[in-house]
Amino acid sequence: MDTSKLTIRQMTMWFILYQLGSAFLVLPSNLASIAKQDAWISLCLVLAVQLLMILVYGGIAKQLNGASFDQHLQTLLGQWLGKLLLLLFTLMYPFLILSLVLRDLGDYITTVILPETPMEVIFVLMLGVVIYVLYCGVSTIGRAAELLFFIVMGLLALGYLPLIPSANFTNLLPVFEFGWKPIVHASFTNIAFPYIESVLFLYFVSQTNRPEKWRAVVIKSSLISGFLFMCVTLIVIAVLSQQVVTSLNFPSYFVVRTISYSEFFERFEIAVSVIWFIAIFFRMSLLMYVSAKGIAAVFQLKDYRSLLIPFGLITFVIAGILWPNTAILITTYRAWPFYSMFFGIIFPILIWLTGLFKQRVSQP
Amino acid sequence: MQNMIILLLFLLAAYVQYRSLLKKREVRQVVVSISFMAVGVCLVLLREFHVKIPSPVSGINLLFHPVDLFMTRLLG
Repeated sequence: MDTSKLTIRQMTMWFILYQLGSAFLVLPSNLASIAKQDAWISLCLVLAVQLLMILVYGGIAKQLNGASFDQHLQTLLGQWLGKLLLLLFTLMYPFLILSLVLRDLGDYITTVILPETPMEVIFVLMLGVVIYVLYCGVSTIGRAAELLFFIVMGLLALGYLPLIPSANFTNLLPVFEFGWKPIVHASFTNIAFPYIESVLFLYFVSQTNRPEKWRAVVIKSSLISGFLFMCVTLIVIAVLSQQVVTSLNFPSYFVVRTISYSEFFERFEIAVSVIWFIAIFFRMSLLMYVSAKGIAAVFQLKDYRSLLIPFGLITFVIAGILWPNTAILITTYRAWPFYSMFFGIIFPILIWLTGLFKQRVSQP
Repeated sequence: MQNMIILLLFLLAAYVQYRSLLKKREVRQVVVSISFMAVGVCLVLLREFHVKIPSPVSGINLLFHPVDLFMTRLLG
């Protein structure tokens, strides 16, 4: 059985879960700290930018012509330059995000659920699962996504729909109180995290039997995850008001604690943690897969599997040293989008233009 | 101590994998993998002996924090 192929449905679900990933918990407070009650408008802006970027990614996907993304880079730029670029890109983008995501998970679990457990234990348990599933192959993850997607959606409904009666929609007014500038500023974070990370989905163009559907898959997953973010942000701000949201680390988690129906239907905020855990698992497996695949292409390995264990070990250490305190974390949240845009916007545009130029030259 | 136990676990898993790869004569894979493994082992040992490893995030902050300040001023 071919373990490297995904169906369109599996791919869509995996991408949606990837995008829900770490952004889901921290997004409302990040957006609300800058755009205040207009956070949801910045989400519209984010989706618009993402749809524009999908034009570029779709352009690259068309240029691939059945080859994989790493092969394409090498035919486009020559073997050495292509490999060098691929090595730098892989280590500085997906591999670094992998450590960041793992650290995010560790921070969340040790602050909210298991305060006495050392972070290292959480790291190793998660890495173990991710390494194992990647060892089984991509189609295993696809099938897992198909199963767990509906559990995630069910838990989301369970966590957020009961909040609607207690939502006070006057918290969302006045609209445009501070003008358009904070809205644009707030959208940077969300554009970088997770939307322009879609450049990594290019690795999956050759992974499906119908590559021409790839663009539709990315558009669909971005719109669905964008809609979910929009609902969660609206509900969180309407229930808690933006002043409260801004001062919380994990507002999407906190808000579910406020549900109480006749002292019976309450305290199931752990559902949010389950959603997050599942989403982080899919996020990490995609990032680890892309990193291992990229490095395997650089060193001309037949299989990416032999790299999983060393990558796990390196990620384990890097995740532990990323930020010593929350102050640095906050600075990182602000600086990260610009770093990420370098790889998610400038790099793909350059690749796309080079590809166009090469096509133009080869067929006058 | 935790770090050493975890290192042992990873080394054990790697050993099992290399043994099966060597049986298939996949020398290239083993060599590349061992090189990355060596980096990982060094990092774990440095951390175990409390040597300060520079965080990649501090480099990013150093380079891109000014950009953020500029954007904040522009859009503030």
